Amino acid sequence: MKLTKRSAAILAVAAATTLALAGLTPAQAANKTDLVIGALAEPTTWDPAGANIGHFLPYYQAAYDNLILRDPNGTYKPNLATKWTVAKDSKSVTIDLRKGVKFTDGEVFDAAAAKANLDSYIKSTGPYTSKLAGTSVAVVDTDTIQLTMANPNPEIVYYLSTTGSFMASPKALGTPGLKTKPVGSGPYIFKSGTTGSQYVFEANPNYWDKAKQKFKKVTFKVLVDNTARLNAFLGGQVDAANLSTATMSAAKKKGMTVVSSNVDFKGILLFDRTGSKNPALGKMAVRQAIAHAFDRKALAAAVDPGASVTNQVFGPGTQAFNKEYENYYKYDVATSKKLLKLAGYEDGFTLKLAPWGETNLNALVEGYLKAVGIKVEWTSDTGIAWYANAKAGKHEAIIMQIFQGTDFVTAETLLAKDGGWNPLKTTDPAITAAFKSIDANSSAKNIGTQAKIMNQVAVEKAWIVPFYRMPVYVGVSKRVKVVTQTQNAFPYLYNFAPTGK
Amino acid sequence: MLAFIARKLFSGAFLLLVISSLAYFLVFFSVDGVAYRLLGDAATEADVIAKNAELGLDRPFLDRYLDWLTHAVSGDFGFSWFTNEAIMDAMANRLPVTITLVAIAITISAILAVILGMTAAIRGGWLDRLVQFLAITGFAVPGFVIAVVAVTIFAINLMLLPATGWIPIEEDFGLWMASLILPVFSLVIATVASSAQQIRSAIKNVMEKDWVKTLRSRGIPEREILFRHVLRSAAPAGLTVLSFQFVGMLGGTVIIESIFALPGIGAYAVSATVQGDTPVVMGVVVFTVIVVIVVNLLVDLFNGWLNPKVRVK
Repeated sequence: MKLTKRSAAILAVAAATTLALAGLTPAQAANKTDLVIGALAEPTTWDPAGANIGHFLPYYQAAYDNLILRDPNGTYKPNLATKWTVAKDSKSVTIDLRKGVKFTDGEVFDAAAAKANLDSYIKSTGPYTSKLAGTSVAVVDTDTIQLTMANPNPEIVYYLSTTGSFMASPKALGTPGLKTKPVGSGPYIFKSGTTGSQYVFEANPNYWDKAKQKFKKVTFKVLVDNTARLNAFLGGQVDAANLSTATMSAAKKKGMTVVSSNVDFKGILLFDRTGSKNPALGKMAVRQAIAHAFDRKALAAAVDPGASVTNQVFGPGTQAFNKEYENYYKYDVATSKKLLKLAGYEDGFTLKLAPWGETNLNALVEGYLKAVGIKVEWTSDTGIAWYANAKAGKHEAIIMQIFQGTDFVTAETLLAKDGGWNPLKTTDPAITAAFKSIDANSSAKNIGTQAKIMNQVAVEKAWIVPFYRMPVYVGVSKRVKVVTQTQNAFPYLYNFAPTGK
Repeated sequence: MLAFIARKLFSGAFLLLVISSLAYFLVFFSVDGVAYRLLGDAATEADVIAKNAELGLDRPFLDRYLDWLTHAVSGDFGFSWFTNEAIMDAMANRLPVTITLVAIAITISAILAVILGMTAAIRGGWLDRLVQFLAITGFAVPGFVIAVVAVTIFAINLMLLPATGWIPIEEDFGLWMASLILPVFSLVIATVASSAQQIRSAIKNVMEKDWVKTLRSRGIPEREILFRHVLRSAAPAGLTVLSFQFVGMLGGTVIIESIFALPGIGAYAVSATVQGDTPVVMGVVVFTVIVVIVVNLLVDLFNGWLNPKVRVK
């Protein structure tokens, strides 16, 4: 075959391109000393006052140390605080601080620095700053501080171990620069970051606790899209990534390791328990009828395979958790109809329900309720309007996925009169008494006892109709191993370690 | 020519004012839940009121709009409510990613479309039918399908190219090129086929003109007729198609940027709109309109250079 000049040139270009491609390797977690996390969210600010839980915590844990550490099982351990004592009335906590710690800009960590950080946190408006609202901080001596709360704060240690006590350099506190570049005393030093792309940290050479510094470099690649995150994981670009039910299956088929934990539950939050918007919901029998209307196992199989059926908002790690409540309201159309008849709604009623972002789940919920005679009228708000309207108490009920925290956090969020997800401020004498009891005695034992009472009210009076607990999946490459973190959607940064492979 | 440019710039500025005002008006009604989003599930009513005041969301529409407009005119687009990043910095980081992606894709598309369109118009036969078949296929198979298939083959199975991400050119030229191949490929395939057909039609149309027959009858070589006369006459139609494709690609990158996790303005605009991040949405709107105006101006100027009649019009 005769090769013309033009054909030869085309072949040469093709060959060069092939060779060039063969020489290129995808940007990936290149070696066993680096960790690349495929993150589905990124911080809104690096100012510790803006810290949030869930997918955001590992970012802050790279740059900052908090006072108290929460291990994977939820046990509190010393960190920048070496010892702490919570007063019996939960109105104050005295904290002994670690000596000899420096921030990466050379500033010294001491009681004054801790006070400056906590004061800044308390006066800011961040996702969890209200949990320390009204707290005053006093310097007892150079390595001791005392927090005095305006009201009893039974979960003060939990808040200090999650978002409430990330310590930034006092020199950086309050400066605009801290919002875009963290300066802490953490295991890693911020090297570069581009919003929507990636954040790179390198090991802090002077870090005081080498046991928590397991990698030389930590990179967070922002991969919001589920498919992009899966592709980056399967393509070897990231070592760990949060996976959805669908992408988890794809990862498992490719032989990847996937760990899971149950953090959130999905269900219907019946806000209008007094019947102010919909008189039917004011009747306990109606709410119980709704709870009996769902085949939760089938619902889970159809929408979230792997989810475990539950009827309670408290998770298995809490003291309030009651195994008998897991399947308390059995799927029973006849019982559901009987309860509706008992409440005077034999012919059913219309439930105005705010939909969830999964159309298949919404359709199934509508079908189950229709089968017992309840007509669903969907509200039309979506996106941020949905969220705002729900929070502002404009809805009588919503379908929702929400996390199951500690005993007190769950009770405070969902059942307290001023709870974030009790927008119509429903009260119940037993729940009010339980909170009062915790205010008087906030020992772990009493919190557990009172949370059990609150769980009993929430389940038996059907305040909330949970369907199932959602599994949260994290895929990990062969280069790293990980331990899941109780009550957090993504493992803490400290829970990752290299395998040496 | 200067009057022509001035006219275009004036109409562009007016268009920018109208579109940005309209966008601000639309965004105004969708920011109710921003404070809730920022503060999360644990936020109390008092937190939300404080956050709204901090962001200026408790001020009336006109007050907020005029404040934004006066700052925007001086080049101050503010900060993202969700990332605290200055909008100008975000644009400086993100716009080059999108523009690079689209510019490379449109250049490759243009070259391939001209070659294919011209060959189909001149040779006809099976090649002509193939171009038409590819054009229909290009319309039928969206870019994101091509992207997903390409990622599966080249990034996941063969592990030849990165599945996601963007490497700046100054960091590593080879990896920058590698990070661009699949997204550009996905954009080009969908564009080149339809452009080729449009160019083919434009060339065929010109070749049927009487003056082309006259040139042939005077014995001027076919190659010279094609490259010196036909292509020049068919260029305005082709350029207009490509300018439309460019603008279309700016929109198309939204999906491509999401699939490949590229930090361009497409994915940024979507997340900002969903979150109600007004400063970002407005920044993206203003800069996208500017890019579209500049591209159209360049196309008009090029058309004017190619064909003086355009300048007169």
